[in-house]
Amino acid sequence: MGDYLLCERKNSDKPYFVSSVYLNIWSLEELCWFLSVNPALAAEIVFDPAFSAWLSDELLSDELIREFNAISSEDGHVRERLMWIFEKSYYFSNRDLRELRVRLETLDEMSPAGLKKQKGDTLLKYGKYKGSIECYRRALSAERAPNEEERFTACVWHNMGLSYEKMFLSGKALECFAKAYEICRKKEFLLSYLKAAYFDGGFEKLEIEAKRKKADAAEVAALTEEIDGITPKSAPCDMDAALRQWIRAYHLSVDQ
Amino acid sequence: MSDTYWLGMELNYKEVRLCAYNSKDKEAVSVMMHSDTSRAQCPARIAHFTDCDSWKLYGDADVGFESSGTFVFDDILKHCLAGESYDFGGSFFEPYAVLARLIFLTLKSAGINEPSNQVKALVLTTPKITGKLALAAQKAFKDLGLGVGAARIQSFDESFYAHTYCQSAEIHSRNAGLFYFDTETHVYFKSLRPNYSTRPVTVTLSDVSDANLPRLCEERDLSFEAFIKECTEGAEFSSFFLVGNGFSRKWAVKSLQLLCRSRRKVFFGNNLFAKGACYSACRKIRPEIFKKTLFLGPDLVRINIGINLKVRGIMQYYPLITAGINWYEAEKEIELILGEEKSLIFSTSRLESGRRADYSMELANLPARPPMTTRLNVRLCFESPKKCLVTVKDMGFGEIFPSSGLIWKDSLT
Repeated sequence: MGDYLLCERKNSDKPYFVSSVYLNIWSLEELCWFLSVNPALAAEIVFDPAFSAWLSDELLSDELIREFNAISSEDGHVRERLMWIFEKSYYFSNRDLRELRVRLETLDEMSPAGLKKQKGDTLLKYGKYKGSIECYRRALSAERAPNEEERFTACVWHNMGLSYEKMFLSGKALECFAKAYEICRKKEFLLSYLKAAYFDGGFEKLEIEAKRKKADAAEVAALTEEIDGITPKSAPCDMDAALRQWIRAYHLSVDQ
Repeated sequence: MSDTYWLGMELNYKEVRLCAYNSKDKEAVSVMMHSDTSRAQCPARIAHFTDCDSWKLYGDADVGFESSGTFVFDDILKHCLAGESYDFGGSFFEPYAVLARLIFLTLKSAGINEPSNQVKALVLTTPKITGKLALAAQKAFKDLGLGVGAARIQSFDESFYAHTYCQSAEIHSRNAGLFYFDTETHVYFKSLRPNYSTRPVTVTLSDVSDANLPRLCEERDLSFEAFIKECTEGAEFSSFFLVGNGFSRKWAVKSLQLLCRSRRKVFFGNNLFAKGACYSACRKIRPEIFKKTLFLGPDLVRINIGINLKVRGIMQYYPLITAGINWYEAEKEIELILGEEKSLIFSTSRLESGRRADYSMELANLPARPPMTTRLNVRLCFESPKKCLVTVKDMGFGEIFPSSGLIWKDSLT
């Protein structure tokens, strides 16, 4: 027997636009999946008046709209609104719903800093680097949970470094990775630092920094081999079109 | 006539006939077309006058007197059956558009000028139906503003059944036979056979027999008499219908005597199919007509096709095609989200035997995506009574996972 779900509703005529990740959502199923994997963005979505209007206009019956408006008018958690959407969509199985509830409860218990980092990670995943850096900065200055000290801060710096790296700002990336490694001597942080050193100043800088940080020779060799193995892809046939596409993608990632 | 109508329209290779339902007398009656000649049928031919951009029904008397710039559309049924456009030296006309014009002009000649407002239901009946004709009819009905459910098409076989089983019980208590003279000397025979051991009573159609009759009247009568004996041997009949211009009481003396034996009812006339179509059109207002019988005609789909999926969280059998409807009306389109599977499994069961079988359709090269992030459009339609075409399209998952554009096609027989 197959595992299929009947779509009772067609896609909406007009999408809901998630501005932070520059994504159009066209159906309740897409919405549910997106929110389940990116709960950090749930708050900005479910409290957005445009979102309520979209649900009402495009997707819900009159009865469901009344129910949703009743929930929305109460001072409630994001979790309650999310779970209502998940349950009414029938997209998830009962088991999935139970797991989602637990995950959302965990999110509720997260510190403001943790929430900011989560959001930053989501934006990084969707290529919104400028937005992710902003979130990481706020995470560094926001209130943390008692168990979120050293390692948490190091992760925030590291991920900020990844964002800068994606923006080809290797100098800034290097600074972030250095801070991360300084706080927490994790191998992964060191390798990110050394890679950023390569992008900043070539193999020469990589070797200098490797010596300074007393990196393991075998690991440095493996990293060098990895960098060496990055063969450039062949140039696209239509270079002008490719350039326009890359410029657009870059602006999309940094203009948010 | 009343302001709104339930209509049956017969379109054969030569003529068009129209019947309307008289709700007072509760019967279908022929509609006169052409107020001047009071004829119950007109040639299935229209003309387009390009100089004044007008259209009209084109009678036999008009043929041969066309001026330049006149396009005459003949053989409309043939063109629709084959899906063949008309080509007048580079000017193309789609068969559905010509059919729509013919229907419109026929209705207009009967005083019905606004089909979308005045026609409650219309059934068009033709000698046979192909997929192309069914499609052309659908488009023609839409052009005329006749919504889904307001107009449909059916074969002569089904019209014969509808007409017969709308009559009193004595007409169809046993087999009912039809002799159709499509030309003066060619006749074919079919009969409706009721099976009273089923509930509802199932009615099947016999195989077709045909005969070529001599031209000379006396020989034709004897030959027809022999044909009648051959067709009716071993079966009991309560009625016979004689249809077509080729039949006449003038020559069919002995053959008529044979038909009338044993108090069998014999009817002749040319509007049987149009009337039958009209009774089919009235199904909604007179549901009791067809409640007790089920016509198992040759156009019927005899297989149930469904799929097991979740509807509002509950796993259940979801019917896609239900047996017992005509193949040219059997279609269904749904959208579903794929779970972990990379194939679709359809469940089938046969109408008569009840035999069940599962049919698996692989979705080759479907891009790898997380479960529940592939939306598929699934469409089923029939190419013939026994062949169902399944078309599946990958719709992706919005902008999250764009569609691959892949389409898979397969057939169920």
